[in-house]
Amino acid sequence: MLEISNLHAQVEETPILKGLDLKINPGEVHAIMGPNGGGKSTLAKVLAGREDYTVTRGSVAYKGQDLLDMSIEQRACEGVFLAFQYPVEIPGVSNTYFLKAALNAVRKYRGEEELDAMDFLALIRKKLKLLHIDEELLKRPVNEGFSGGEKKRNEIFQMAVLEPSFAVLDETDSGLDIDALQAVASGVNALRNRDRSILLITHYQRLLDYIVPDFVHVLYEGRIVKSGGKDLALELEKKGYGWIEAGAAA
Amino acid sequence: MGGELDHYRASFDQLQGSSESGTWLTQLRQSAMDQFTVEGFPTTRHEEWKYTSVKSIAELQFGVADEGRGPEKAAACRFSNASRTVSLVNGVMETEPDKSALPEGVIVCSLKSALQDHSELLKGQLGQVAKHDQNTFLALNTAMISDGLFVYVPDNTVLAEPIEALFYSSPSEMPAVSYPRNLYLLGRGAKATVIETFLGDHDRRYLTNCASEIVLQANASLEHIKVGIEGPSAYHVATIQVDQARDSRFISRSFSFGGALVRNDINSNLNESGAECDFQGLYLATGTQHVDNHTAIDHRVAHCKSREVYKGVLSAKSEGVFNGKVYVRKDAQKTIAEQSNKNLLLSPDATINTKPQLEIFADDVRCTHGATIGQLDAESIFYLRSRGLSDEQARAVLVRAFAHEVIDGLANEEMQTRLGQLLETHLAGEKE
Repeated sequence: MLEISNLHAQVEETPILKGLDLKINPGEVHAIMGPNGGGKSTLAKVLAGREDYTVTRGSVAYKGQDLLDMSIEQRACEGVFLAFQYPVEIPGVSNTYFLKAALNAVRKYRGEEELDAMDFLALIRKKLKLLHIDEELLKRPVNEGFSGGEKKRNEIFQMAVLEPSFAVLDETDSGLDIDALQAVASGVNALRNRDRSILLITHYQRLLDYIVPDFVHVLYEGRIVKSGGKDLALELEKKGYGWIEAGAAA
Repeated sequence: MGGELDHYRASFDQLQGSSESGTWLTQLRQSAMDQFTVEGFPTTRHEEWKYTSVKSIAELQFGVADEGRGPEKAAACRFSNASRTVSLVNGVMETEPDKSALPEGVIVCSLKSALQDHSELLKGQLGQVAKHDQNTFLALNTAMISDGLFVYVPDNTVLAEPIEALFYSSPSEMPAVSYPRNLYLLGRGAKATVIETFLGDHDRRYLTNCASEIVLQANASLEHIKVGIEGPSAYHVATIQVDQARDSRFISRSFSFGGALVRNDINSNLNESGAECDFQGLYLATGTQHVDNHTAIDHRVAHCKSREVYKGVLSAKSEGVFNGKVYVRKDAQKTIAEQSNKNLLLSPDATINTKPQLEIFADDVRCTHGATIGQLDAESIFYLRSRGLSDEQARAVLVRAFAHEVIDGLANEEMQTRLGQLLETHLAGEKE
């Protein structure tokens, strides 16, 4: 699905990713943890194609294609999805309009017929039900006036509608209370399947109690310094990042 | 200077010569013409015209437009609900509106026939609300008063359906000017909606010099919607002047899409307590279009309220001007006045001059104002593109979202739809 090799990336003149390697197979859920400033969010933005991040070395192969060569929207249309850490508020654009435009852009790219209003609504209702989200959300402007939890749920809802092959969830758990976290996690779990890969970026082990990953990696100073199974997350929770940092320094 | 104005004087003499002399109307025109002759067209040295040069209007020597013919019905339908639209071609009403559907006592007719049939209603009002000494274009319009739309709604009468007027300028060989003059009188507790659409479906040069005078008696309520879709080489200068009595409510929605040079002056005097006005405007300009909105809200007494939101989208080499005056007189305690002007500049060559101008002489008031000038938000564009929209689509969505606030604020859903379509047409044309 995704193979990142020796990835180096910088913002302006500051290098952040310094030789990152990661391989994700179809259907796998990987979690990336690590202290702040390690490059977690940079990785998410580089994968989605944010233009102010420059890749200086390395490659990212997505389904055998050069991901870094694709435009932001091309990545989306090819099935890459980023759930934002800070979803953007877009006053004046209803969620329905936004989702329909996005879904039809993706469908058009894939050579599928665009959905008319009826079919679109039917599909949307199905997804709302799957994620236990109130239909009222559709009429509201995208993320405007949403609580933190609502914004994150809206990201997962968009993911459900766009049905990506590879989703990056950038600190989707940050700032959520336990109820909101459970709601978001159950949404993500409902979307897990053997073809869809997910990369969870998180600061807290807590999320991994609800979305159980196949692999856990520690990102520190721009590189993956440790990888393991879900137990690694528990170990990190117990010991903190100090021993990783000490190990990396040694 | 004098030479430039000679042919305006000739048109004026012709109009006066065809009217009965010595009446209040000919006196009004004469005094306005004297004013115009002294002042002539303004230059950019004039504070009110600092950012809007009307040199080309002064040089073009517009002749009075002939009667002309209206646009094809089908074309008119695109912009208005044809079944209830009153059309004025080159400032002259085509056919008198159907009276049968109107509630008792309501008058909707041409100003020309109102001058004959309802002179007593017009006499103390026409030229008294929009006083010609306040602006030289208004003086010229007043000197040339002959036709326009007259609406009278008696006390406690509600017009459920809007009155729609289509002001069409027909193509002519030589640059032509029309002078529509409208008067809307609403009695105590009366309520109405008036829609003025200015249309030119050709690229000939012409000038629309328009004025609307509005009197709202106690508790009256008027929603005034102005839609400007003048031709690409057109000049449009207009004054809308309102006098508001106790507890009256004036809602102004001004949409400016077309025209080479557009100048709107919208002014309301809050003369008695409890009066409220709500101004909203949307202006879109591209190419080398120049759009200038001047507004003035005069809080003359205590306990009045005003709200103003103007939004502009400027692309290519277009220029925008916004000047919003809010006066709060010494006795106007407990005034609430809010004003904002937001501009989106879509090109490095587009410009906006925005000036909120609050003059407050009372001390117990709540007044806010703000002006913003910005580009589309990069983070929002990234967000939309990350969901599959192209860069172009993402930008279009954000521009529409910005502009729609004013359209969505319209009470009438049909108008919302029509203006939404106009916005689409305009934005689509911008790409070409």
